[in-house]
Amino acid sequence: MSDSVESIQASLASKLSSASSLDGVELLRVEYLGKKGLITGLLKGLGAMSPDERKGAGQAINLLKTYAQEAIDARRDALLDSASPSFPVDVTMPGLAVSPGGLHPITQMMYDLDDAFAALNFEVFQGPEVSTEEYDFDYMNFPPDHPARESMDTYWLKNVGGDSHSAGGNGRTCLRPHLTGGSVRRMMMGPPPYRFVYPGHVYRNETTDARHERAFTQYEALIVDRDVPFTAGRLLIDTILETVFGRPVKTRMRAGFFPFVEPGYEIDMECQVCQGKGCSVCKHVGWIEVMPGGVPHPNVLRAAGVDPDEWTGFYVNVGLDRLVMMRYRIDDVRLFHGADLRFLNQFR
Amino acid sequence: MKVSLAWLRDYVALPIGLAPAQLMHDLTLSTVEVEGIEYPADHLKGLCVALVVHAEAIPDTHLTLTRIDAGSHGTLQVVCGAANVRAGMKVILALPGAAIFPKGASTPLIVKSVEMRGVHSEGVLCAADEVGLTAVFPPGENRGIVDLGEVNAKPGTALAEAIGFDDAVLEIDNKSLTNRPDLWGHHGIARELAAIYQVPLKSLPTAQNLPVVTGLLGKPDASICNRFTATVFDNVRVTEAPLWMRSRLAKVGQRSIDLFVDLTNYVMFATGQPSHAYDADEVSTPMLARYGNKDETLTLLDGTVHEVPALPCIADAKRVLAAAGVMGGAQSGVAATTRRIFLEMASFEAKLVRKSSQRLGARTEASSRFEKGVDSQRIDGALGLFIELVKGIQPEAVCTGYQDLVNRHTSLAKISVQVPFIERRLGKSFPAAEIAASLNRLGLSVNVEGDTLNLIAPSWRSTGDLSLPADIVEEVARLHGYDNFRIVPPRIDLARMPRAKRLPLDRRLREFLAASGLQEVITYPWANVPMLAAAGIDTSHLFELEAPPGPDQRFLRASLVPNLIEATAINQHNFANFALFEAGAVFPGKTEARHVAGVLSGDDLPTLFARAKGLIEGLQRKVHLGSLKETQGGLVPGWADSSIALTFEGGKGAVGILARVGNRARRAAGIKRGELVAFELDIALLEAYDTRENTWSSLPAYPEISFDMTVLAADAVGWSDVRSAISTLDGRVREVSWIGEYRGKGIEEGARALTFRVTLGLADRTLTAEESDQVRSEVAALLVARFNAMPR
Repeated sequence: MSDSVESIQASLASKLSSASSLDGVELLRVEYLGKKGLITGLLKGLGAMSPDERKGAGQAINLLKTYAQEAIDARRDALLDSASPSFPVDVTMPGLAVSPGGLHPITQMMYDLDDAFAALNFEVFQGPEVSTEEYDFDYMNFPPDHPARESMDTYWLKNVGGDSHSAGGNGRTCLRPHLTGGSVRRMMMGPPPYRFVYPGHVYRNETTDARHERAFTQYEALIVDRDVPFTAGRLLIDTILETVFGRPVKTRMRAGFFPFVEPGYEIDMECQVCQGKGCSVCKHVGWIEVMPGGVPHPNVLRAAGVDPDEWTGFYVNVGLDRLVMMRYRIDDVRLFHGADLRFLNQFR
Repeated sequence: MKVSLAWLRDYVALPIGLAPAQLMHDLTLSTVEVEGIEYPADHLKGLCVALVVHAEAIPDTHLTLTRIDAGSHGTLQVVCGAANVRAGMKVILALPGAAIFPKGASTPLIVKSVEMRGVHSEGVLCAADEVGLTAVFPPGENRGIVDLGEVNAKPGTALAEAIGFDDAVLEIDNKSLTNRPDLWGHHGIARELAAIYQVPLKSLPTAQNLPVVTGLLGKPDASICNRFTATVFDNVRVTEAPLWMRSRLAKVGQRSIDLFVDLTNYVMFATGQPSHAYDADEVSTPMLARYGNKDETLTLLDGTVHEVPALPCIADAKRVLAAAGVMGGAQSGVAATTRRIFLEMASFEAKLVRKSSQRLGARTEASSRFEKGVDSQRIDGALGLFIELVKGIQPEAVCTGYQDLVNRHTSLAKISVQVPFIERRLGKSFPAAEIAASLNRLGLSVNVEGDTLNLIAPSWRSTGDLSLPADIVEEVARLHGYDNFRIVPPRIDLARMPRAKRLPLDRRLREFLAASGLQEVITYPWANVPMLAAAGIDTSHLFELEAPPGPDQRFLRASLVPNLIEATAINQHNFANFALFEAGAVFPGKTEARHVAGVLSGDDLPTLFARAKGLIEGLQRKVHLGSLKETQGGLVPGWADSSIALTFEGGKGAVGILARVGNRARRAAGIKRGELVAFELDIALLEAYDTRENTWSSLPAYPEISFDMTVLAADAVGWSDVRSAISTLDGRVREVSWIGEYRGKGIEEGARALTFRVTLGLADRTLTAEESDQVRSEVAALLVARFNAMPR
């Protein structure tokens, strides 16, 4: 009897190991565990045995049955697990592109900065691109005879008057030459304090080359509160640069003069090409001028209806094109308006 | 502006061992941007002073064989081709290894020991142009090698040292000086350095006991001139200026002319005060500052001739002589024969000088100083310096007359500022005494009354530069050093968010389109005239630029689409299937709006159109906008093909358009292949939910049943008609959804097979199969009856 148990187990094991299909495994199941199967047969034979014989043999046969069930299931699972797909796959083929679209690199940078400033609870404001001499020069504390008004680099519009009560200028309308006038528009919408950014395109009538464009993008931030020490400005600047470059960037402030700020600053950052050691990019100075800034001039606050004795603040104004150029080391500013997908596609 | 360190040291004792680079850094951070440092000696390497001990002609040549005493460099034999070489002459010797520029050479020649005509020559005796020193040694009449007769240095002394070129010259960014007229001279920069390093400043000499006379000047026009002075010197000789003066002028970029022109330039570079020297015997006093007349003309020093009506001029009793504050005239200047000098030194109105300079097309050292605003008091120090220099150089010259007419002196700015105000603005506390001390160093007089500082600015800071308490904050901060302030984060109240809105709609639109496979472009705000014409845009309603970038770019765009079609044309060289979009300002009817627009380029028009329509339909779900109602055709812009167009309407009115780009616009942009579909929406008219749509429907309580159906329909039968007909047929119809269309094999031209799914449901129980079949039959019958569309 035990011989028979052992030989059945051995034959099943050997047949299973060579069974290569689910059908083959099923045939073996029928052969051993089916109604007329070998193991079933052994179990049927127990009835003809003496109680003593039956006890020993029954145990052995039941063990064999358990073994058979487990071995057959294991073989079936193994075959199911290793079943290969019906189609060959070349895993070295290129992946299917998710989507070829994207945001313009300048927009990407703008949104990065918007997010950074949103975290400082700044709102985003958008002023109009067609603006007036009143907002962009009068309110900005440009004296009536300031050369910037006379200069040819503002795109004045033909035959369009400006706001009627223009203080100093000729009440002309223009494509905005800078963003800062927009800050007055926002301030006029409600009382201080203010914390807002106002990015956008600005336009100047320049001869274009690799470093100069007629249309470019600026990013400005303004904070106005009761006490804004000028070092708070550095906080804004550091926020901008760390967002752009993904790491802290050394900056320095020095005196600079702009009509709409007092005091005004020029802000330099350590040259990211040479890490401040001096190279051709930074003209061997180690620093690159990145943005002007400063405390809003009392006349600007007054123009916006804000009492300069009670409120103060800080402006920063970044040339976004230039920052993007520095981030990627792009050498020609004209590419930004070229609409060439071969260029724009690269910015993910 | 170039500033010589050696010159600065005349006025201020700079800290011992202060490196020029440190000074550059300190001056940049506290006052003005120093863009670089130049070392003039770098250009004079290998050149030394030498003495010609012996000179003899080399027979049958124009050459001279010389023996040269070069001090520590030994005695050398040099062949020289210059006619003026002679024994006993002090010369510039270029030693082997030095780089010089022989006449006409653009690249340097490296000096070597050579054989010339069989004679050994161990160096080169140099002419001024060969060593770049024509500004110091003007070639004059007798060209040849430089005669260093006026140099005291011993043979062998480095040339740079001998002529004062062992110096550092700072290059200061003029832009950073625009509001600081006091800094347009060495003394002004020295004053800043004295304040920065807290060392004494030497003041300029003041002219004393001048022989005051009348009759030199007539009363100057008050609108031109604040102060008008004349000083006459007799018994002068118009020689060359001394070497040290020529050298200093050369280092700051000014070539030497003659003693008196050089003196006026020197005084200007020292003090920032321009002046002009006339031949006193060539002018008919009284001299005037007046506007030019209609019949007068003026020939300037640069040779240009100008009509002068209403131009601020300097004139004598007979004629106009100079453009006030800008440039002298060609006549009446100092000449070699001049024996008496008439020095005119004045304070002109800044605005007038700027206008004159523009009108004459002449920006000069004088005009760029006057137009910043020079205080009237500055004349005192400038004149003092001039007289002291004349005395030192030509002791025999005599000052014989001086007249001073003042219309108005620069009034000193008075500012009161509270110490706590300064401290709040700077985020740091300062004792009043410390503030007073640093302001004193800048020339302000300070009277402390408790927390109040009563300040009087010096005249050189009173021409508009200092006037407000904020100006004083800046002075305190920059002298303390901006880098010496700890960053103090501003304390703000945690108030309600300024506007509890989600990301701006503009941004959500752009991010949705970018994520949907469109590439953002940024184009110019103007549109090309031919495109405007092709797009059927009436230019009489557009903003027009006074000075456009080009004749075809004179109108601001009313739509984003024409520029996008052009951008598409650019990219068709490199890509077949692509899509672009732009969100930006447009100016239809001379008002500003913000639009978003896209152009899809490809070969399969229905797919392109469906994709573009999917974008607009997707706005509701992805950008959280209210739904838009579409209308076939409608009022379409000129670029659109009206037969394949949809217009959209929202709660605020017509929102935009989706259409195939018409043939005319394609042709204008040079689109040669494929199909273009464009859309444009007015962002302000899109209705964005403040948060999201914030609605939902409960799930059906009983299972829904659906069936698919395909019918054969003529092309004229539109899907939306089919859909709405079925939707309203039976209350049990919950949804009719598109599956697809098929044209081609087995289907006749002008027709298509439409496949769709109809979903049915009831609120109170599950539909039976029989009921479903019944609806199906109703649908089939309806389509046949209404559209002649046969089920397949």
